[in-house]
Amino acid sequence: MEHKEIDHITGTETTGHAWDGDLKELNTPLPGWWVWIFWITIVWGIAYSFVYPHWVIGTKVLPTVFDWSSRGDVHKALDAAKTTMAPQFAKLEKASLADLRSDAALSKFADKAGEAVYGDNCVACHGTGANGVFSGSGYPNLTDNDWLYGGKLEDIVETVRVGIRSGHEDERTNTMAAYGDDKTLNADQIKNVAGYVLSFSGNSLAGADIAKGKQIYLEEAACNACHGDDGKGVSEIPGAPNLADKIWLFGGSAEKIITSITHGRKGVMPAWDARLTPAQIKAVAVYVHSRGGGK
Amino acid sequence: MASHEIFEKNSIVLAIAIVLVVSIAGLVEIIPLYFIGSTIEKVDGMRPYTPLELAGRDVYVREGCYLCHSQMIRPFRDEVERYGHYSLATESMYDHPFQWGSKRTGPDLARVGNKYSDKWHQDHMNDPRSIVPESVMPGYEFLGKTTIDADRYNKHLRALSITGVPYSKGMIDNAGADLKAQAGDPDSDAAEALQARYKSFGSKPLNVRDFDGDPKTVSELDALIAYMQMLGTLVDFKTYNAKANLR
Repeated sequence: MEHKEIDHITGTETTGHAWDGDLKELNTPLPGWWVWIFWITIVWGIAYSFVYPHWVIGTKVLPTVFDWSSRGDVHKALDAAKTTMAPQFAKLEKASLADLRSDAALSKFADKAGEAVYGDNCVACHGTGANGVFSGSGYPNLTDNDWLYGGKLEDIVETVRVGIRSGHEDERTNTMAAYGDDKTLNADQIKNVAGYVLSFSGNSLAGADIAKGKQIYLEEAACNACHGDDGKGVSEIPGAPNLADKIWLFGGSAEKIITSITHGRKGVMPAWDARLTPAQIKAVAVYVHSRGGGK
Repeated sequence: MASHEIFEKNSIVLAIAIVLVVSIAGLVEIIPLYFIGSTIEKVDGMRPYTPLELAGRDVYVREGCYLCHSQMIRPFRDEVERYGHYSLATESMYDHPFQWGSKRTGPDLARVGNKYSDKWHQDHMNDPRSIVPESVMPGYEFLGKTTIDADRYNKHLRALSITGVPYSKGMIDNAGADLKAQAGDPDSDAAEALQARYKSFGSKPLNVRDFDGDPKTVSELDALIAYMQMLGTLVDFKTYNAKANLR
């Protein structure tokens, strides 16, 4: 390099450039603290690259000093939670309703665990309050006493596990025929039978011939095979609703009932055994059972 | 003069040097991804989208669903407990472009498949607040009324096959028929042909049914629900080795 000129006022070297004849620039060195931080960050960066996954040789990522990985982290967190809750979940899986009623701590655990499962998975259809959100929408209210597939704790466990018309090999299912689409009944006959069905709950349908409707209900369409002579359902046939209790899954207006008879109804609930553990299913069943309707 | 005089006096040389230096970081990070064996996990069941699912995905992208919904379950305990197994790279490998998203006004959808019934999706698309009163999602009632031009889907499949999605010639040629078959009768010959074509990936049987509650036409709602109902359901986690895929 060329000759270094020292600026006589500051005592600092100049860069050696000169503009406009005599305008010169001081070459002030970087502050020591800055230079130190600069070198420390480089050392830090190199060390960091050995602590977290970074180096690749050929087709392999080299293992890190502490064997850290983000997926390893989440498995550790999940395993720790599982271990902590394992004794309670083990107890819950075997618990009967009587056990839950006598063991307050277990009951509280089941309720809280069930609430978490319910919140993540069930609210979309059954609503945050388990009340089906809008009556007659096709999504059952779980807080009333009306159960299509049983309201006992073990019934609810099974329904959650296999679902309804879910495609699961043990799915719960039944068939409400589409009497209009299948041409089993004509529009007048459907109106008459709808009028008869409404009469179970003390309602009426203008223009419907109840006597003819009753005959269709009992004979031509044999609705009583599933819904019972009195419309209260047949206990051996799960999935067939009670028509006399004023609780209507798909709506209780004459129009909705006529739609149900014409096209049939095939509500679907997904099976949860692939998504939830048996203990989680039990917990959510306990939660649902305790919302008011459980038998 | 200083050794960097050449850079200071030639802007083109300076620009080229800047590009070279900046690209080092990119090359060091990106090139190994093409060679390391662990970028994409080896799993059972992963397959490309069927034409109907692809049409649903096109609707998803067109309507900007990704602006409010992510498709990326991050590896954290709270996310795994809420949504299911964290997302794997392999689950996005046939996505062009992927739909990971960056914002959750609505929930993550990476594993929404089989979580709700088709009826729920129909109701929810037509009027979200009819079943989720607190929802802020807009209604998409028109999807059920808009039919899909099935016959152009062979072009979509061909374009994707150029990017590396392993569609066979049979899949591309029959894309239009397959699209219609998947939204129809599961026992039809066309549906069986569709199942046979996509069985080659070793995945579970496809969902074949009328998704939108209207068997007469193949609507965009059929496609979107078909797409929703398979999201996150392909990988067989019973045979997935989490230990071997830690990273």
